Amino acid sequence: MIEFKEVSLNFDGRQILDKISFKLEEGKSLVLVGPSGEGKTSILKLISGLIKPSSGFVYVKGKDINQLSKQELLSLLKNMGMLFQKNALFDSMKVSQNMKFPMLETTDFTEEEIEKRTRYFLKEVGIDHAYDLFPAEISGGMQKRLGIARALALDPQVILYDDPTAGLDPITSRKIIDLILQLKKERASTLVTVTNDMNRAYQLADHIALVVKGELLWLDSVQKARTSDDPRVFQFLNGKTQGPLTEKL
Amino acid sequence: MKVLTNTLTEIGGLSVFVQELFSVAYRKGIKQKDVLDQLWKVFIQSFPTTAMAGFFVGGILTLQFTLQVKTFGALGFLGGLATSSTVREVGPLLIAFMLSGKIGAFTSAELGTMRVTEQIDAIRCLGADPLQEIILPRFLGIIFASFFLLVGGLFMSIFGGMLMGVLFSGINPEEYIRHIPTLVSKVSLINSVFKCFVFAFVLAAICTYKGYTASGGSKGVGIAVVSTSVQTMICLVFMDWFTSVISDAFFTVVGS
Repeated sequence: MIEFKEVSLNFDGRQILDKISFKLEEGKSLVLVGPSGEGKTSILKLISGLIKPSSGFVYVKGKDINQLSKQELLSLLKNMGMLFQKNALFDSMKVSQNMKFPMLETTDFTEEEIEKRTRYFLKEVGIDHAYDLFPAEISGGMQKRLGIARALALDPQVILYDDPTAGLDPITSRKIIDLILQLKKERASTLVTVTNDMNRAYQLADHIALVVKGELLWLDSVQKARTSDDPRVFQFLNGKTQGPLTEKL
Repeated sequence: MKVLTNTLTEIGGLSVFVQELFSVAYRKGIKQKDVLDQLWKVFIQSFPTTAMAGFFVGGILTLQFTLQVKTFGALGFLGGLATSSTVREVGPLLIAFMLSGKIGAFTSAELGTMRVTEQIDAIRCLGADPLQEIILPRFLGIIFASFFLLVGGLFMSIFGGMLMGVLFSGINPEEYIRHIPTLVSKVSLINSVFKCFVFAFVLAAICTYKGYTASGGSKGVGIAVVSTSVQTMICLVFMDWFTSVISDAFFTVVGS
């Protein structure tokens, strides 16, 4: 479903990713963990075609995403939902309009259908009472839920979650993850999630990968991640301040 | 050398951006309702400012010319003289400066904020084209609204000039208007309308481009707004000169 082949990424002469490769099968959930600023979000943006790799290939559903025309890419993106780190909600639109936007712009749904789906998804994520409010008028947790609902509006096969529990209290975080898992189960979607909340990562992952200093360490299962003898993995998962990840600090 | 490189890069980027907008309009069509919404919003927001600016530009020029024409005993030509300079040169340029501060800054700040808060990326991730959804309607809306505002501002400048002439120069409205057709030729009018269109285009292109390409958080939005204002004003002055040269050449050829 998603495959990276020798993908490198450079920004302003700085190497963010260095020849990373992995393959994620359909219906599976990959969680990317790792220190901040090491390229986890860039991997999500590479999958969605928002940025192009400096070298290497990114395949989604067997298609090299960087060889697609603008039109083909937009068609592919209709099958992909993305929750942004800071939600990226349309602040000039109400909650309901945020939900309706992708359906109005990219589908042939009738107004009735769009209304029905909007109400359904808002209810599903538990914010149907905020239908007429603006994003600035709802809490951070509700904004996150709206971001998730919007990402799901087109029934995507691939969903990318960038830090879905950032800044949320443990109870709300738990609820959001339960919601993501429930929706994944219902729709058999493929997930790629970025998070540094290890409890939530263990809860979500079929596979875990550590992104560090431009490398992607594929840790396969949660169990293997926990028992890994790689000192970088051990340091990160156990939150140690001393170790190979902090050597230069 | 660096300034030259940066200038050429900016011109190149802007040209590609405008070309892409035309290409999107041709391939995917224009969302007329969104364009009309933008046109109306921009027009309503800016009309009072533009009308006021136009009114005082005309009024000030009339007062400035009063002393000269009185010296030559040619007060009857006051209206024609003031209107001619307003319509040909000062009016469109000063009103366009004012619009660049109002519409240009607002649009680049709005789009820049959407860019740095990833709203534009979100539109793309939802399978829609941000150029078609948010840029093209603003681009066209601003062109049409600015054009109407500039032309409206010119009418207000004529009215402002006449009122100031009546109040402070001792001329009656009929006298003021009488020599306007003598000194303001059709060519001047066509030239002025052409300038208004070019200025509107420059304003719309720069503010949407700078907003769309903003980066780097709130500081990036600030930089986008400032460079929108500076670049728009420089381009307006340059295009004022350029359109004057073109018009003169064109009407010389047509005239001969």
